[in-house]
Amino acid sequence: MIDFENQQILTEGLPELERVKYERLEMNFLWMSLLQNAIFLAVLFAVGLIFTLTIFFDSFLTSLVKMTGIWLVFSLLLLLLSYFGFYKKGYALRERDISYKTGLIFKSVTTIPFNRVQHCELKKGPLEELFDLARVRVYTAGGMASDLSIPGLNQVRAESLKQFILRKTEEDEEE
Amino acid sequence: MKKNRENPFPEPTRQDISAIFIRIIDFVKGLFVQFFPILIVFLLVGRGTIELVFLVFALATGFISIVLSTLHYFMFHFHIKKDALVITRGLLNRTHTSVPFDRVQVVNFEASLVHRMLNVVKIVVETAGSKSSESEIYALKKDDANALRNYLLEKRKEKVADVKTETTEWVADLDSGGGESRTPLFTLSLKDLIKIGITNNHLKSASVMIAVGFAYLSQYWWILDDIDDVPYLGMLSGLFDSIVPSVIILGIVTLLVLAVILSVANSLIRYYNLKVNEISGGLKVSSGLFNKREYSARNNKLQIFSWNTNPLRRLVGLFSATMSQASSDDDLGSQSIVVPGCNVDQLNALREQFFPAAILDSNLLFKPDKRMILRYLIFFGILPLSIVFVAIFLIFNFFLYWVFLLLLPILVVIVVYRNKFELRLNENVLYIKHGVIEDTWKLIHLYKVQSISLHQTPYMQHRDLVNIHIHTAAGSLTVPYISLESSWKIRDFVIYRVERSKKSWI
Repeated sequence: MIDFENQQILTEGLPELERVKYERLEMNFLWMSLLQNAIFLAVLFAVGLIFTLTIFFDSFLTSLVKMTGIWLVFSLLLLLLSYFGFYKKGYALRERDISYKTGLIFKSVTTIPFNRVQHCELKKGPLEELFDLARVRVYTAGGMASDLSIPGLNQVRAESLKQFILRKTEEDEEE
Repeated sequence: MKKNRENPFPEPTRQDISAIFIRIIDFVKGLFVQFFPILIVFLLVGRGTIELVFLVFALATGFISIVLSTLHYFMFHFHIKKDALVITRGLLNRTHTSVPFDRVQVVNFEASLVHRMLNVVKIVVETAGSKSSESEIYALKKDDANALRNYLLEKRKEKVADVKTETTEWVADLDSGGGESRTPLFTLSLKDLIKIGITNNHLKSASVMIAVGFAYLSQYWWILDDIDDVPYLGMLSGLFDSIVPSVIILGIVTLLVLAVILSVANSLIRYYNLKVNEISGGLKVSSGLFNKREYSARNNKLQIFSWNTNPLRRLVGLFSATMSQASSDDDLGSQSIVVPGCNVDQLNALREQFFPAAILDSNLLFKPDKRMILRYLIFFGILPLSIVFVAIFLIFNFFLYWVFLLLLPILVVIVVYRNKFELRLNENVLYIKHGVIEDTWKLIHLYKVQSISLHQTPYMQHRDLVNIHIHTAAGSLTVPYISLESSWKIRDFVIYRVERSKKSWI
């Protein structure tokens, strides 16, 4: 077996990631995610409506009221979550790595050093196109769990961020 | 390294003709495994018409498999171009797979019993980051296969030498065809294998057997809709009631005995004649009774080195070691090489190959916070048991208080888990030890870490605790309930080491 001893090695004065200021995503992203949720909720309401129309347990009216009540509570929760969640999202660039934090209830911060980036791409959905937004995805060899996706960047910034990451990765390969 | 300058396959070439036969056998074997339980049911039930259906079915599949295999043979070509191995196949969808030399990682040979009878091998070219099934050649004469491998690895080396100045990391194992000339690092004898089989974790395999049994049962129960169709079963069912307790005990004993026999057989079949050879830049492990397999563990490709043992194995001084290599995104951790049993010295010899003792010294210890115990007890004990309790009350209308007795063993497991968990860190290596009954140790070079993420539940945000996820190219590791302060330190340090490292992680 390996015998381990204890000895101080984590020297003070390492670059501290926690000091970094995270940049917030575009305000447009907040409106987009609210719209996205609204669309989802509308579809949900329609499904609920069809459901109550076909099988209602007591009378039609009480079923409808109950369904709408549950839907309202759920909608409020979802919209509140996405509203306050927006202010918890952010990304930070350093010379040699990129971090993304997210999570209102369950917090997480992921950090990828540029010299471990496999590739990097820019993605746009139809809604994002509408709001002039784009996502930057950063892939590593560590599989889904270790990848990063930074949403809510305006398209110019997203493109320059992608170029920046790619340049950093290339620099690393040349060294 | 002087031989084989010439390209052995400049023109598109077919596989060895025996590929047809091998594909047929594979096909039939696959079908047989799939329909094995249904076959047994048919034998038990034995209705005339069904037998006919079955015969037709068997003939049809036989015919189809022959046609498909023959077509496959004629439509499958491979050759070596200036800079890549090219495989073309497919009847309607022609697929061209091109494997550039510099992406070739390892060239493995596999030989099933059929392969060996026909004196051919299956070639699997492993690349960095794509599915290996795309670059397989099902059957090739041993000599041709050797020529192909040598040529590929040689070209690979040249290519890499062009790009980088230091080529020390990668040297082709040209002698691996006849690698027996070198003395192995160690081998496993028949006695070792039996020991390994007997000391397996039988509780685990027994539970797997029960699960598989249930899965099969639930899949095929509809055939047995009329239970009286099964001869003798009706007679037996009367007997069951009177002897239920002894039947259960007998069942458990039989299951355990069966588990022992199965695991001994399994270890014999998979690891017969296991040899660990040192090759330049790594290790080569070969074993197998029917299917002789050969795997190379490369220093640069290895991501996680882990070893584990259970109380039974500890008693006889046995460990099993796993070398997890970088693999493509969709099947992380599938490319791991297992040495199922070795003693401490052999384990250290293996470890030394990838993690020399010198870089393991002096480190800092981190342990999960004590508060983890209560939280886990709530989530894995109180919560699920309460659900069971309520469910039983709702369905059967009585209070099953004794389910809460299970809290005690659950608590013990959690406490043991927390107390055993260790994360150690030094300038080069990250080391994790964990386990409850089985103990597992893991070693990772810091520079092979891909990314790190810190996760917090609401409770953990209040108490300044963090779950650290460390991602590597061979899977992720989680270190639970580390204090916020320490987690920052660990992350900053690991990231710093990764960013400072000039070494390639693969």
